[in-house]
Amino acid sequence: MESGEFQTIERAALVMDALSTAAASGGLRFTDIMNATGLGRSTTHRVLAGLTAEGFVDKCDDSGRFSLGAALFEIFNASVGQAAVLSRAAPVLQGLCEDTADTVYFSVRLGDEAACIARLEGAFPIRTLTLSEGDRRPLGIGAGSLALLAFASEEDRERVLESNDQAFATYGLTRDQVAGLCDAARRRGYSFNDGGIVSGMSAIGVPVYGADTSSPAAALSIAAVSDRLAQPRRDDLARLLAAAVPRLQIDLGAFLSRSGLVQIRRSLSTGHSVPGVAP
Amino acid sequence: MTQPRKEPGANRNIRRLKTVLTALAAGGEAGLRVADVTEAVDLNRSAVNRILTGLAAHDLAERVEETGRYRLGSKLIGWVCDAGDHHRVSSLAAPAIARLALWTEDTVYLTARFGEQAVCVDRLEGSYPIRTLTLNVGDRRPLGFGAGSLALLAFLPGDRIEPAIERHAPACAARGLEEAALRSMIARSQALGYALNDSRIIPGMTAVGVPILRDGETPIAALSVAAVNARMDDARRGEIVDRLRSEVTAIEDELAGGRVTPSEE
Repeated sequence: MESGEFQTIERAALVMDALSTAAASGGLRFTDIMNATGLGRSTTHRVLAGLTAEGFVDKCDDSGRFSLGAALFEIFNASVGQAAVLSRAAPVLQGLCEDTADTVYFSVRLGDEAACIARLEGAFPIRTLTLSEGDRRPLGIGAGSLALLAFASEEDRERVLESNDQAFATYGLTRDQVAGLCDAARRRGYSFNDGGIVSGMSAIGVPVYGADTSSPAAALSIAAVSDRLAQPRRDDLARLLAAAVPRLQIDLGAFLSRSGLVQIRRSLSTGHSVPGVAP
Repeated sequence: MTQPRKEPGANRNIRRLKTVLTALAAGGEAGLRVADVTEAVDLNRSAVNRILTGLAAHDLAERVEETGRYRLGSKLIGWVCDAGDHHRVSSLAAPAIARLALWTEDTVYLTARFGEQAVCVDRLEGSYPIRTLTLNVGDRRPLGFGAGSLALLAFLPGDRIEPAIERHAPACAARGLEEAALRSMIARSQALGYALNDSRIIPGMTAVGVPILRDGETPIAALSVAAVNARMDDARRGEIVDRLRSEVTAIEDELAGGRVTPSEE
């Protein structure tokens, strides 16, 4: 029994790998699984029974085929909630919210997109909730996303400006306009979105760097109705944001390595290329 | 402690694996110490050690060098991606989802059926600033609950609907959708030819769903669009359903055409 867990993991991994490989073709029959894994009939039966009981494997009533099950999503959801990552960021975001009474966003870079992973609403009664947690935008669209692009290395930035050209158009912006916003952000030290995306609301953003210091991995941003982002308040808020960055202390590299993996796999499966990753 | 001689060791061990993986998932990127996992899963330390070592050997967990802590491994993420792409439905639907989100400006969902459950495997928000984001990718619902999930239930082959309703009605009722209401939604969806969820779940929002059938009879997934009620009057709803149907037909054709038939005798 000493090696029971090892053996179970090894056999479960063999079966799950076989089902993973066969997902696109709609799963495997019992004998296909035996052939693919090299496991005997009774072992295959036992392992499948255990995996099915826990929801790792799903047996199709119609075809009798086995495929990957919904329990994987249960585990995945527990991880993408990212309670651990966000619990460190939360006090910093909370502080910004209380100090400004506006909406604070924390976004991370995923390939050529920015994903909002946290949003906190301030007390000011007019709220600007254009992004929800989990929402993605092309890099350059929205203040946090614009900060990610504007402060990226020149080579990185030029490439993203090219590849997101069409995506910009769906937001009514051109590549040159976004490039102009980036230049202005670098001169100013923070990004500023002055109602170009949703009229009446403005936002500013600052970059957050992970281990890679050439391009930011995340961004902090604040959004409010445009009146509340007029000068001199805008510069004051930008200083508050910049001061909060060193206090985030998030293991962004690790966070991004996982999120990036999902992104890469999605891109591979949809045939879009991911920069820097050989297909 | 007595154990039957032929106790189902694999079952028990797989249950333990799931418990440990779920704990690691909740531990996030920083990971958990062996002691943290031991505490979270109520197993003895040596069993936890064996499981973590085994998981790490198969890339299901990853040991963080600097801290010695464990977190979820890359292989699990790969499995999640492949699970969502059963029959390639997620890959095939991706361009359709993008077109629908662009055209409707509302939120588009892809829901896949995993036996007894519907799982949201993709979501794309349109540009309209009032968003209806009731499901996240990875969320699971009983069949019947929500437009995509309702499409999966209402358009099952005739003889399988009644047993499915009986199985899923309690789970739907637990979420506030009583059996009578579920049945009337199923009947109406069948009459309309698409699933319609009009504010029964979230007041103020309406969603429509069209099933993606395999072999012309079994729904394996559903595409749905959700919006605030004001954006779902009869005329617009009809247009959205037309678009959904034409995208679904194209996906079904690709499913049928691109099928791989592995070693069928």
